[in-house]
Amino acid sequence: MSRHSVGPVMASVVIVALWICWPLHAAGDADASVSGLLEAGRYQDASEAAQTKLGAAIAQPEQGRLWYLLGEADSAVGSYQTALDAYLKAAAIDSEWRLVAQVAAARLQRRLGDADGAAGRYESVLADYRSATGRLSAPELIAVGDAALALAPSDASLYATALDIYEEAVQAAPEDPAPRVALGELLLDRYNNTEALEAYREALEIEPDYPPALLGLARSQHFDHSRSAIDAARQALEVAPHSVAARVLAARLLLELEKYSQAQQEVAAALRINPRSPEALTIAAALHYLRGAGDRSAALVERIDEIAPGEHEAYVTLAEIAAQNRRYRDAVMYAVRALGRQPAAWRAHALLGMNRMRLGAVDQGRRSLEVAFRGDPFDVRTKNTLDLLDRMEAYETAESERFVLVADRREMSILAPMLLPIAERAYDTLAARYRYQPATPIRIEVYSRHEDFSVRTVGLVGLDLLGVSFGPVVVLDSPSARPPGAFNLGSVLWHELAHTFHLDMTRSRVPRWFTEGLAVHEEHRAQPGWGADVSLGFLTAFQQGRLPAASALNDAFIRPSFPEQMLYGYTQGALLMDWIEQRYGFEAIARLLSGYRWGQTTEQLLPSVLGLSAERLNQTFDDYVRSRYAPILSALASEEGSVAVQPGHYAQLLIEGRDAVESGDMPLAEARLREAQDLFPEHTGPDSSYRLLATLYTRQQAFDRAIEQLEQAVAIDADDLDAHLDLAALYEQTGQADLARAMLERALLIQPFDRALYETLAELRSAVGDWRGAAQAWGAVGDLDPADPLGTRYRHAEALFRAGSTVDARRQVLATLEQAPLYPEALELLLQIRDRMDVEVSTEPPPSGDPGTGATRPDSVPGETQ
Amino acid sequence: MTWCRRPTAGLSVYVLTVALMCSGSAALAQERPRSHLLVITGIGGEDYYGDLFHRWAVTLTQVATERLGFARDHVVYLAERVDRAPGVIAGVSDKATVLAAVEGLAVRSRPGDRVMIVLIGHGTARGDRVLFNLPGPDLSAKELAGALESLSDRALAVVNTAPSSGPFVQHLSAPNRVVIAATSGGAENQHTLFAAHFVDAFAEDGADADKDARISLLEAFEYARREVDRAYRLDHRLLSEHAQLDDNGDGVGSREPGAAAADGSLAGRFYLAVADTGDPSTAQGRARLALQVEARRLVDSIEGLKRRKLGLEQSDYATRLEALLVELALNRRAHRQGRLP
Repeated sequence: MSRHSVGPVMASVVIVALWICWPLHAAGDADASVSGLLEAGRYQDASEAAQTKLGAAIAQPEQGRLWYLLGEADSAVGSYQTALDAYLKAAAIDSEWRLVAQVAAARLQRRLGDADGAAGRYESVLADYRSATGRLSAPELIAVGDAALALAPSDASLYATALDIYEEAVQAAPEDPAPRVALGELLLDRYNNTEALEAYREALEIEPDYPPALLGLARSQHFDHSRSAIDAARQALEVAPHSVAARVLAARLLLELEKYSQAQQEVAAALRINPRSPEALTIAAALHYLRGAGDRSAALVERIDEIAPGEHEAYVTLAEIAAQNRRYRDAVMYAVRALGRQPAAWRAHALLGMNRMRLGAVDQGRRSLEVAFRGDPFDVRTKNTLDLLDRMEAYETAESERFVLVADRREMSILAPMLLPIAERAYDTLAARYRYQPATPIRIEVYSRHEDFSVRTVGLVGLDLLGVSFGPVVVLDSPSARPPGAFNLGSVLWHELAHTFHLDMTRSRVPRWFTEGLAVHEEHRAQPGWGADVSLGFLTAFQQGRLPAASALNDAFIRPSFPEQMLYGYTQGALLMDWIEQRYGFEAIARLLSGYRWGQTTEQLLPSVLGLSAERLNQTFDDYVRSRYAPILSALASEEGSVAVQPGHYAQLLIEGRDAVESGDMPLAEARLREAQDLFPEHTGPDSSYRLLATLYTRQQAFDRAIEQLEQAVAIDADDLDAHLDLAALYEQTGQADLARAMLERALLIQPFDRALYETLAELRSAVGDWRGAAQAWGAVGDLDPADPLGTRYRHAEALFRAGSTVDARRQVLATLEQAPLYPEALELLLQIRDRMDVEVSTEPPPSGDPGTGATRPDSVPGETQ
Repeated sequence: MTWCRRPTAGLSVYVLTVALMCSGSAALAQERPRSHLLVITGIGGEDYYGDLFHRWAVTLTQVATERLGFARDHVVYLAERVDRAPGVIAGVSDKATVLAAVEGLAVRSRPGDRVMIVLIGHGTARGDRVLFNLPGPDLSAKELAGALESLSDRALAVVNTAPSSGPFVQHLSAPNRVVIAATSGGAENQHTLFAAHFVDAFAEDGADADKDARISLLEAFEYARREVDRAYRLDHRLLSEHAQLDDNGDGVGSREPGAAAADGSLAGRFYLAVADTGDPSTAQGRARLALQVEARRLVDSIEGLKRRKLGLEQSDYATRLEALLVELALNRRAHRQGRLP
C-alpha cells in the first residue's frame, strides 16, 4: 500500500465535532432585535421575539430569515426538534437564507438520527450551488462548503471542493471574518495548523474580538500543545460568555491539565446554557470517567445517545481523552463504539489502530490504520504510522521469559543480550517491591531512528523523549538514534518498565507526574548513577520560583512553561518520591497507587495517605528541598543579580579550580575544587569538581585519588561516558583488570554500538581468562561492522576454542580460512582444534555410525558459517 | 586511554607470492623490485591542520621504514615547515621542490620498482584548474601529470587525500598506474578524513582483508573508504567525501573497485612491503621455496573448490575444504618451524 506525502493544503477531515455556533452577520432591520438577542446569548428571548415577529404579516424573504434565526435560538438551548422544524421552514422559503437553513437542518437531521435525510439535503445544497446562475453571498458559500465537508468522509474529493468554496467565500466578503474562520476550521481539522492559524489571525485582524476566531485560535494553539490555548479560550469567553463551544473547549483544556474542578465548572456553565449539548455532555462524561465515576459517565453517554442518536463524535472525543490519559484499552473500546454508529468514522479507525498498537496488537492495529488511511489519506499520524510499519519489516524479535524485544535486525545481536537480562531483573525487582506482577509478555521496541520512535509514540515526528511506556508495550530510542553517549539505555529501560508496573497497578489512572517521579526514584534505587539528578539548572529554577508547586507538578509535564521545565519535572517528582518514602515509608507510595487505582484523585489522597493538604504538602516539600540543598542554594542565591561572580561562590570556585589545574597550581586547584565538591556533591559532568580533580590527581600520578573521584562521579551520573572510560583506563593502568572490565560493561549501556569498547572488553576478558565473555565480546565486534572482519572472526574463534566451545570455534575458523586461506594464526588454530577433537573423540566411546576422526567430520559445515 | 593492542601478524608469508615469482638465482633475487615513497604535505592554513597533516605523514613514513621494509633513503617527506621535524622532513614542499623530488624518484628508482606518492593537505578545484595547495604556487594536476611521465616504467601509485582531489584521477590516469583520490569530484571540498584511515591501513592491523600478512593498495583503499563511511555515520553526518580508485588507465575512478569491477586488479597486486625472499641458493632456502610452492598449489586448489561450491553438496564441499586447509596448515607450520618437506 503506497502512501504519498500529505500536501500542505489538503489537510483533511472532518467532522466538525465542536460547532462554532455564532449568528451570521449582516442581520437585516426586520430581525435586528432577534439577531442582537442571539449575539447576547439571550436565546429564549430571541426565540420568543422571532416567533412574535413571525406572527405578524411580513414579507417572505424576511420570514425565511426569521425562521432561520428561530432555529438558531432553539438549537442553542438544545431544542433540536423544534429548531429543525424552524430550519426546514426557512429552507422552504425562497430567500438568501435558504441554503444556510438547509445546511443547518441537515446537521440537525444527522444529529437526530436521520443520516440519509441529512446526506440528501447536503447533496441538494451542492446541486443548487453547481446550478446557481448568480453570485452567492458569503454565508451561502460557507453553508455550501459545510455541505461539501459533511459529505467528504465518503467522497474525499469534496475536501478540495470545500476548500475552494471557502476560498470563494473569502473573496466574496473580504471584510467578513466568518469565511476565514470556516477556512481555518477545515485546515485545522485537516492537520494543517500552520495555515489554519494564519486564517484565524486574518479573521482577528478584521475583527479582533470575533469569538469564533478566538476560539479557532485556541484550538490551533491546543493542536500545537501551547500553554496559550487556555488563555485564548478564556478570551473568547470574555467576549462571548454564553458560547457553549467556548465553554466546552475551555473545559477540555482544563481537563487535559487535570484541573478537573475548574473543568467541571466550565461544563456546568455550558450545560446551564444548553443542557442537551452533546459536546458539553461528552466532556462531563469524560470528567466522571477520569475521576473514576464510571457509572455516572456511562449514564451521560447514554443521554448523549438519546439526544444525538445519529452522531458518533462523543465516542471519538472519549477515545482521544482516554488515550491522552494512557487508558488505551478504553480508547479502543470507545473507538469501537464510534464505529458501531458510523463505520465510515475514519478518525475512529485511526484511534482504534493507534491504540491497538499501543497495547501490542500490532497486526490488528495495522489493519485498522489501513482502513483509516483508505478513508482519510491525509491523516498524517495514520500515514506516518503505516510508513513506519513498512520500515519495521527490517526489524526482528527476540524473547526472554517475560519479554519480547523488537529491534532493528542490525542491532538485535547487541541489544538482546544487553536489554533482556535488565528487563528480567527489573521485573523481578519491581514485582517484589510492589507485590504486583503485570501481565506478560511485555513488548520492548527499540528504534534505530528517532523519527520512528516518535511516530510509534504519537504518530508524528518531533517528540523529544527517550522512551515511552504504554503499559504492555515499551518503546525506546536506540542509542544509534541519538548522538553517541547521549543516555544510559539500561536506566531508560528500567524507568519505562517502572511505568508499566504503575500503569497496570492503577489501571492507568496514575497521574503523569506521579509515575514519572516514581519511575526516576526506581532508577535511583536500581543502580547508582541511574535516573535524573538534581542539577544546577534545576536548583536555580527552584530558587527563582519557576518550578510548579509539588501539588501542581503535572503542569510541568502537560503544559511546560519553559523548555527545561519538563526535564526538571522528572527531578522534582523523584525528589518528592524520595521525600515521601523517607518520611512515610514505601507503604505510603503503595497506598497512593492503590488510591489511584480505585479512582481517587491526588487531592483526595494527600490528606488520607499523607495527612497533608495540597498547600501543606507544597510548603513541607519546599522546606525539604531548601534544607537538603541549603549550602548550594545559599551559594546560588548570593550569585543572583550580581554582574560579576563573587569569590567563594560555587561557579567561581569551579572556575578558579579549573584555571589552577590548567596553570599547574595544584594546591590551589585542589582547595577550590574540594570546596566546590562539598558545596554541591551532585554536580557531575566534564566541568565538575570530580572530573577536574581526577585530571589533577592523574597528572600527579596519584591514581588512587583520581580513581576515587571518578568512582564518585559515575556513582552519581551513569550517563557520563567519558568518566566511565577514564575510570576504566585508570583501573587498567593500575592493574585492576576486573574493575576495568566491569566499568566498560557499564559504559556499554551508554554506548552499546562502540566497536572499540567491545574490542577492549574482549581483550580485558581474555587477559583474565574469561574466554566465554571474550567470545561474546568478539561476537559483538563482528556484528558492528568491524574494520577487520576476518581478524575479528579469528579472535572470536580463538576465544570460543579457549572457552571450550570446540565445535563453534571450528565453524568460525573454517569460515575465516575459507576467505583467507593463508591466515597464519587461523591455520594454527585449526590444527589445535583438530588436536583437541582427536583427543575428545579418542577418550569417548564412538557413537553409532561415527565415521572416525579424519581431517574432516560430518558436522564440519563451513558452507553454513556466517 | 591506551589499550593493549594485539601483536602484529608475523611476516612469515610476506615472502610467498614474490618468492614464487622469482627464479632460484641469487642474482635475480638481488634485482627484485624496490619500493619508494614520497610523502608531500601541503599548506595547513591553521596549526590544527598543519599538525594533523604532519602527524599522518610521519606515521606513514615510519610505517614504511619500520614495518614495510623500505630503505630509509627510499622515503622522502616534504612539508610546509621543516621545523616541525628537521630530521624527518627532507625539505619545504614548494612546487619546485616537489617537482624536483618526483624527478629524483625517477633517478633513484629502476624500471619495475614500486613508487608511491602521497599528497596530504588541502585542495581546490575551479573549473579545469585542479590544485593541491602548497606553500607558494599550488601544484596543478596537469603539472603533476607531466612530472610523472619520467616514472612511466615504474609501478606507480599516486594517492591524493585532499579535498577536491577527484579530478586528479582523470589527469593522472595511465597504464600500469594506480591513482587514488579522496573525493569523487572537485565539489567535495570539505576537509577529508581519508588520509587518516589510509595511513591507518598500513599502521594498524585491520586492512589485511585476506590475511596473507601483506596489504595491497586495494586493501588499503577499501579499508580507508569503509572507515571514512563509518566515521561519518557514527557522527551522524552526511558523507561528503567519496573516495575513488583508478588502475585501468581509463581516467574513470571506481568507488568500489575489486576483482569483478573495472578497477582494482592492479591495485590488488600492488604491495608496498619489501619482500624477504631468503636465499634460494642454499638447501634450506630451496626447501622453504618448495614449501611455498606447495602452499601456493593448495591455495589454488582451495580457490578452485570455492568456485565449484555451488555445484557440490554442502557436506562434500565442507569436507574437501577442511582437508585442504588442514594440509595447508601443516605446510605453514613446517615452513614456520623450518622443517624440510
